[in-house]
Amino acid sequence: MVKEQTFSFFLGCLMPNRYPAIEKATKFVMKKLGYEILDMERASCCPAPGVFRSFNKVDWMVAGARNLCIAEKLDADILTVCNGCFGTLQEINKHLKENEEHKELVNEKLKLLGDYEFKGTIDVRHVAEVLGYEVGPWGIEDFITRKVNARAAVHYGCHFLKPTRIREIESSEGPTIVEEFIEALGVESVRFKEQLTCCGAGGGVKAYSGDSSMTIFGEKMKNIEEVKPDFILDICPFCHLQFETGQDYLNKNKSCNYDYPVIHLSQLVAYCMGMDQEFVGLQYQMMGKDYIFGGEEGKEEEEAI
Amino acid sequence: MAVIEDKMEKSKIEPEDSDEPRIGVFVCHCGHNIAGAVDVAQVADYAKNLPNVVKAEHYMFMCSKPGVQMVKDSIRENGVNRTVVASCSKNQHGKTFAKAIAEEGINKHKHQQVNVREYCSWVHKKDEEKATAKALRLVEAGVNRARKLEDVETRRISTTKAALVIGAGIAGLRAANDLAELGIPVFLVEKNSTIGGHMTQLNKTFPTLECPQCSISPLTNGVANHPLVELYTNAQIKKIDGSLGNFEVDIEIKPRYVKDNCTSCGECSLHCPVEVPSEWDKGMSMRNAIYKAYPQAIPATFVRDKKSCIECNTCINICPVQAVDFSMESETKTVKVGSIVVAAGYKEYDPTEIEPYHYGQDGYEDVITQLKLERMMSPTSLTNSEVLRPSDGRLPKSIVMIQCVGSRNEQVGNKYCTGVCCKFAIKNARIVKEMYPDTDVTICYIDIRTPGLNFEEMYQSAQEVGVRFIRGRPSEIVKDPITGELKVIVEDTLSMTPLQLNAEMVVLSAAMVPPEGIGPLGSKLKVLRSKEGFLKEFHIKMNPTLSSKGGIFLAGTIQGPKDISETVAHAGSAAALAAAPLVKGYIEKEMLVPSIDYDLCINCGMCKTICAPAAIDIDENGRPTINEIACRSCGMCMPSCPTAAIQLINFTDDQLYDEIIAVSGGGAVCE
Amino acid sequence: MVEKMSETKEEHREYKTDEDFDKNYFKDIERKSNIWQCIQCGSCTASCESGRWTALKTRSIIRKVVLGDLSVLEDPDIWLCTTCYQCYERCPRDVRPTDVIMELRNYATKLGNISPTHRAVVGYLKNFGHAVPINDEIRKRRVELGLDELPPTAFKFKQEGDDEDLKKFEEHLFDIPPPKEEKKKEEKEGEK
Repeated sequence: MVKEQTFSFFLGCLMPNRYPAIEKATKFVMKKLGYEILDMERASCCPAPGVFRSFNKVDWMVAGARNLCIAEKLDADILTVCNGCFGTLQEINKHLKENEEHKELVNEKLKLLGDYEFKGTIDVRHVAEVLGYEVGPWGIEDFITRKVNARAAVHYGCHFLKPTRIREIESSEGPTIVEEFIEALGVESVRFKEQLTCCGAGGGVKAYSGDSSMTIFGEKMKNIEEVKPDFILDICPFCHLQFETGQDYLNKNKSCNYDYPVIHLSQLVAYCMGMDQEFVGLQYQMMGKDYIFGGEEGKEEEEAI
Repeated sequence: MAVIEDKMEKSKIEPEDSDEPRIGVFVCHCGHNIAGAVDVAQVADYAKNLPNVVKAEHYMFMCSKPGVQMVKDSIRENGVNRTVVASCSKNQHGKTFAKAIAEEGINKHKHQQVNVREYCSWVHKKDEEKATAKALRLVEAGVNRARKLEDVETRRISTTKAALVIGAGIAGLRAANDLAELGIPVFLVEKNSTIGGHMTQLNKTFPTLECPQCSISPLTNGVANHPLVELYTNAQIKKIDGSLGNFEVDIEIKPRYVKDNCTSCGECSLHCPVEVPSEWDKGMSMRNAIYKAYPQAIPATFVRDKKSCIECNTCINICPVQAVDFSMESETKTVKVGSIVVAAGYKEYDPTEIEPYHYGQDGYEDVITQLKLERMMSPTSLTNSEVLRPSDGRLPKSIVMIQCVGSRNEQVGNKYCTGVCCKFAIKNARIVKEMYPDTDVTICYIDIRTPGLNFEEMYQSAQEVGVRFIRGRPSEIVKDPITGELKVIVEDTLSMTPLQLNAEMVVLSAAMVPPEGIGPLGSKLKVLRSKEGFLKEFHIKMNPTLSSKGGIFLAGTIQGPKDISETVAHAGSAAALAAAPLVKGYIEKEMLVPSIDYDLCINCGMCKTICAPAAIDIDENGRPTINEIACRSCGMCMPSCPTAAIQLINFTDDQLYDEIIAVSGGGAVCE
Repeated sequence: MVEKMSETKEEHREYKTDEDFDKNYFKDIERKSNIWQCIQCGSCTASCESGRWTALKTRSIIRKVVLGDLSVLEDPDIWLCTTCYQCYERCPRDVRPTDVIMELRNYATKLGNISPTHRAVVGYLKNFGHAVPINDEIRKRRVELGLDELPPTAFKFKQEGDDEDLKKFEEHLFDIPPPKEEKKKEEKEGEK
């Protein structure tokens, strides 16, 4: 049995190496909620699903299984904040648990990388569903000190919910988990056209052809622009990067004038739980540097006796 | 020639029958067909020496007159009381010899046909030695079998001259009509308050674009008024007992709360304060709590929907003939019939589960199904036959039809192709385009399937008037959150272009699926269901209108999706089959049935579970009993029994072992 | 002397025969029995976010796999799929096109058909344990935010002198063959 209320925190690449504010926010949030967060020493890139799985599926499974083994040794489920890492680790974990033949193949090769053996003892979790289902909009009320009065364009990304037969979280055609959760924080989700489409970064496309990636992304920004949200909310650091660098690119190359702050769910929740805005880290980001979270301060005053 | 040696001492095997078996064996040359590969003389010689064989001959053509006479003579002259003919297959000439021995007074089941042609000479043409050795084993096996054959009685059971037809849609009406015309009284049971089924809901039928209400009218009126037809509407089957030729059926008739003296004047409905969506009109209009489903409905008597009624009693007071009576109660009527025809129909697939199409969701009222479109275009529709958007009542400038909704899908819906949707979509598209030439009408399809006479022409004529055909299955229907406009996202595969189509209205061509309540109905009938959920036919090619149980016949879409012409033909076949035992007055059944040794039986009930025609029941003491009329002689009860307590006559374990021993070479060995 | 007929300036198209396809090339590809059931309905291409704006036509890719048209392995368009899985969700024959495309990329990679930027990413994984390595600016930022300068991943251990993990990555994982042009060059030099 895995340790209760404990997570092996899988960092991935983009969060620690580009957006460390998300890392800080996540640790803050999980500790406040009463979870113990363990470091996964020697972890590597998950490896990124669209990139490495495209090069060699077996090596991708092996490298992913190695990360899973690190968490198995800690005896705690993995927590990740990134759709890509979730996509890789959850799928490999489930697949190797169900497919004896591939499990043996992977364990054979794992031995070459060190003292690693995949046993299939842990699960892989994403912060969006831990917050959305386990804590829930009903449960988060007890932990927040303020709400934010804002309209957000919510971006679910792709690998959080899909493939639905593997993730088994919610239908990908009409999800509500994140939007229902942030409602409890005072954020209204604004529906925009083709909300559920991809940000255009995944599958190795951003590296392979930045232009194509930006073409896809440009259309998404057009739809978001129509509803003029206060900020864009994401649950994946890669989408986060795409929204940041993308708006910058479109401003420089396509005469656009975007400046929407891009906020990861962890950052939003951390702020509502009392983290100072400077640690939320917007000043380090490219877009929306001047954005200040508005809203209801001092929620305690509202509590009835 | 191979030297055949007897490796085992053969002891005379005592039969369990009282009369000593005297077996006659006849080996046929069949010209060169058998004799070309098998040494028939050797086989006959070998047979002569087998225990209980009193006569063994070989002859050129056993099925010829002299050949058959040989068999008959052996009975008369040599006291042969069981025959074995080693020639062609049982299907080919088994009956010939069985009939011959019956003419000589021997029970026809005491003939054993051994196939040394299809099973031996024809497949081993190149190896005489082995073919002959095999033939020896086959004949010995046949002799072993014949030794223990018993008389099987042919029982004549008189049938009840009446039929039950379940469902009064086009299939049920056709069947009821055909049966009644043969002089057979029919009990026609319909669960809705009106007859006519789905056909009456359609606007026009393909390919001739006739009005279905007009086409069906002679039939509905004819059947409803036929002296031999007793019609029960608002009624369902409660219980079915019995078997082929003699069923006893309980029909539960729900109260209409309106007596038969109703003149159909409509005053009650006019003054009824309650309004609910009309099921018959697929929600396209409202009806009252006391209502008639549609103007031409038969029966014309109104009906009260107790659930929505608020019991204000207005209708009671206003009825000029005092026909409304809230005190009416359910009635159960028990009828005795000889045959049952099931014509319970189908229902339209509910596309709600296909999420990207958003059917039934708020804001997507303009996404409808073909049946709803038919209702809209019908003469008595709420929209006055105009095609209008449900959301705002406007005429749509663009209509997109999507095919294969709920069909041909491995992930949602059903795997099969309904086979009718291309036809009705094209029919409707053409009608709409001719009504509104300025409206864009598009059909998005994977394949266009319009087989049969006049249908390719119908497809062409739709193209002629400007219906646009796009080969591509739409991935989703999107709605602009600001403007509210609907768009259909599809790839025109033929030109490799992804498209967004304007769609002020989307019509989904939904599949035909088994109707509501088919589960309980199937259980009551004790018939098998197909894997798609319909009622399963006895043989897909040779017997599509007989169910898995004798005496119960299938008519129409209850057996699988079909159009009206196919349904009518199907129903006619079911009626003819249903009529046969009733017109004849009896059925003759060979009692090739199992018997149970209750000393061995442990009352586990496995035989009942496995019996497909449900011919085994459990009595009050927990013991299995056999319904000999329903039994199909399939023998599946035998392997299911853990103690071999149940044995099928002439196919007992004992008899089969004897055969197997010989076939496996326990008697003869070839070098 | 018979004079040669002047060459036509038009593009000469090939009239393909069975021999132009290799039906058995993909015989070991996963889910091949489902791929063969593709009815080319186009739900995938219609769902494709990338395909709307780029040259990627998912349906055609699957068609090439079914026919055994090996030009698909040189097709740059297979690298334009963002793996959003929308086609996977909607395919009525459960072909799972996303997985097929990623397998095709495996085949292509084995032939050396992988872009220079992707090769670089593999290099980063082997050198730094990350597809996106950390840089000085972020190291400073981490300290400002109150976090450890380096996250406790394999890279940190390498910085501290223990690079066992990454050495093993280099040795055992993601051995990508050189691109075709280089191979030909090597072969030519070998011949010399």
